[in-house]
Amino acid sequence: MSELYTKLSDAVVAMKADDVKQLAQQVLAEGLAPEQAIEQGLAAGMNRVGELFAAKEYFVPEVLVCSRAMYAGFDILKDHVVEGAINNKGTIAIGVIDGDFHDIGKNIVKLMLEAAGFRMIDLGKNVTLDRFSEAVDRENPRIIALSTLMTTTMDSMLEITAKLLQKKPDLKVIVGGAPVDTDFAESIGAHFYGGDARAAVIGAHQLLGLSLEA
Amino acid sequence: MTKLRENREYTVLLNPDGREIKVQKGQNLRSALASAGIFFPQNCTGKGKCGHCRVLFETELPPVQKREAELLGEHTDYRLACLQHIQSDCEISIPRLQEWRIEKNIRDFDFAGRVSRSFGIAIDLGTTVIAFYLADFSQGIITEQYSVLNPQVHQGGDVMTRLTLARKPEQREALTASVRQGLTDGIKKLLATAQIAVDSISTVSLAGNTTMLHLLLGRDGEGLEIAPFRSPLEGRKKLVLDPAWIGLSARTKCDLFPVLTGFIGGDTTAAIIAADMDLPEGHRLLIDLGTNGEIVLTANGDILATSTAAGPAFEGVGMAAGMPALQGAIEGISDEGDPFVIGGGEPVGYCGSGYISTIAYLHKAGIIDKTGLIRQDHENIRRWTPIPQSRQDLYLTQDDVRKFQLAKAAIAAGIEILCEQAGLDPAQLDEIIVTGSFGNRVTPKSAVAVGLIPDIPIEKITFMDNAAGRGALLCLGNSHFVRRAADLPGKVKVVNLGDHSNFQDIYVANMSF
Repeated sequence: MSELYTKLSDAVVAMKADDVKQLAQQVLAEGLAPEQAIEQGLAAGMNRVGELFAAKEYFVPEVLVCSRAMYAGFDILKDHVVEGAINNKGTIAIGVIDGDFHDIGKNIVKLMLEAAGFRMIDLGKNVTLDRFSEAVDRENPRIIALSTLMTTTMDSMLEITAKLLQKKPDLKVIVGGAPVDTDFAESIGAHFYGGDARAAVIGAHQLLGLSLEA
Repeated sequence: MTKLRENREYTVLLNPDGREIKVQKGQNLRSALASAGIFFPQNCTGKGKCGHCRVLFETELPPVQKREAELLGEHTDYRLACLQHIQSDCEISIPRLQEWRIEKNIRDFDFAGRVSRSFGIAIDLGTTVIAFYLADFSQGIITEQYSVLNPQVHQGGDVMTRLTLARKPEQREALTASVRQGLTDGIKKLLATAQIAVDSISTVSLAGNTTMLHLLLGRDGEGLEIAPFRSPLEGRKKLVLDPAWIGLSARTKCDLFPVLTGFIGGDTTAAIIAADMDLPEGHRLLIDLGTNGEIVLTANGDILATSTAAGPAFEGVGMAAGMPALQGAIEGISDEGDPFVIGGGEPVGYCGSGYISTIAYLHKAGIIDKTGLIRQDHENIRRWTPIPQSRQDLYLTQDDVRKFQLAKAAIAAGIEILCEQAGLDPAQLDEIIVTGSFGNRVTPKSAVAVGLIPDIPIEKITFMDNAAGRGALLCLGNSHFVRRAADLPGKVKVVNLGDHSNFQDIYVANMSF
């Protein structure tokens, strides 16, 4: 693995967008594979950021600054990627369920899953069953990720999970948010409880039988 | 004893007061304690999540459950009452309730110019605590004050849990009955202490948040529990409370404070009156710190109000050593790092003001950096304790600081957005009034230092004890104040933070120190 990839990863973790940009240019100048630089440099860095976030070493502002650094590099490299060369691990539709507007947790989870190589469909907040359902028809996701911060919307999490699974029995459902836990996830027939963004990334890999290292 | 066992009833001895309670075999300990009048406030409603109902087993320890092991860590002699079902006689002590005294006292209140022979009762109907104030109009003074846990805490610790319960009619009826009973009992107790007859109460003024009013009036949430959190009571100038519901005679006049939205209720309108926020004078900010932080700004002739989801950190809930602002709580910290404990004595945990001033202190000392990261202690763990190497249950953990950051950022973002909507630079504020039941030792300096409130000269920052209760007192038998309160729904512009296009950026920017 090129030393540049390690430097890219380090620069993402160190929140240094300018360094990331410069390193990305260097990747192109040296004729290295941009898809490898993305996976082994940028995504690997973001993966480490996820671990730091889970360990509470980094907090929301740091994660967002790191992600900006990652995207600064991604924007330079993406146009040089050979189509199909980046491994898309699968499509995940994510949203905060109907009745709740709190979406910062969802945004972080989305960011981490995207950095880990999943194709993310962000449905936003206050998402009704109908809109989740449409997204399942339109995008054919393998996973649906439901978030809520409020106890009062937990009933509708149950309904959404049940209806979506009826529609697409092989769909996997990840739930997350402050009032939710593993027991609740099991009780509504969801497949995984993502306690934090890092856990959601691990869970998405598990549910699709993927290796985290890939 | 044999006979008791046949009846499948066990005895639980409660320390330190030596009281005995009878418990059915297999009965949940938390509900058994609740039946005996021992409540754990601000709980997770018995899901084994918050750890606030921990009890110390002095007789044989029942087997530990997974959740208990996770939550209690090194406290292996403890169990969570909510997860224990009694299978034998036992002896327990309840550490967090030993000195259970709730005080929401109001000092120095002046009923200027109200002279009559009768009495009035002002009530602050809080989610956790109900405070009663008996006013003697002939003397113009508060003669008795009394605070008690809202008995609904037994059914659910927070408003959202109660609103979820209230979707089922029988549960809604139980919640309504329990709050009416709590009010009836409190009033009875107040009258008995003051030795006056129920007929001498001419007027009652009650301030409650929107959820409390819904349940008191016998309504369910009617949608106020889900976004966009609207209530059919909004904008109504007159809310009617039958005095008979709370044990008063039919002649007693009952005034309820109006509601602005699902999350800006009668407690806030009462606080607005107490702080004169409806008078167009200067640029002034009122902040009620709580799980739901309400913020009111009077500027350039407008009154703007918003509510922001701070989470329960300011009330000490969900924090490793958090507790309400009661005896034993660390409510502040000296410049040298020594804790101030409510009631003196040994510290038991931290209340909201304890967290604010401790975190401000640690930030200043460089132990917490600007991202909120705590320096590692001698065991290489990111945590801090005010009493080095002794009281492990007094740790301030990294997770606590993260929760605190979310809470203070929610308040700070709300303030920033209100000021922006009013076209006001926060530095131009003439006055900031902070209220809420989070403890008293917050200094303006520490509230500014953690970024909770804007950086203005500290002499312009004041703390008001129980603004909602003060508003209710002002309206007692005073039609001028009652009218001012009734006019608020038409005067206050409610700002929904979620509608702001830049809310997330502002929120995140306020998380650091």
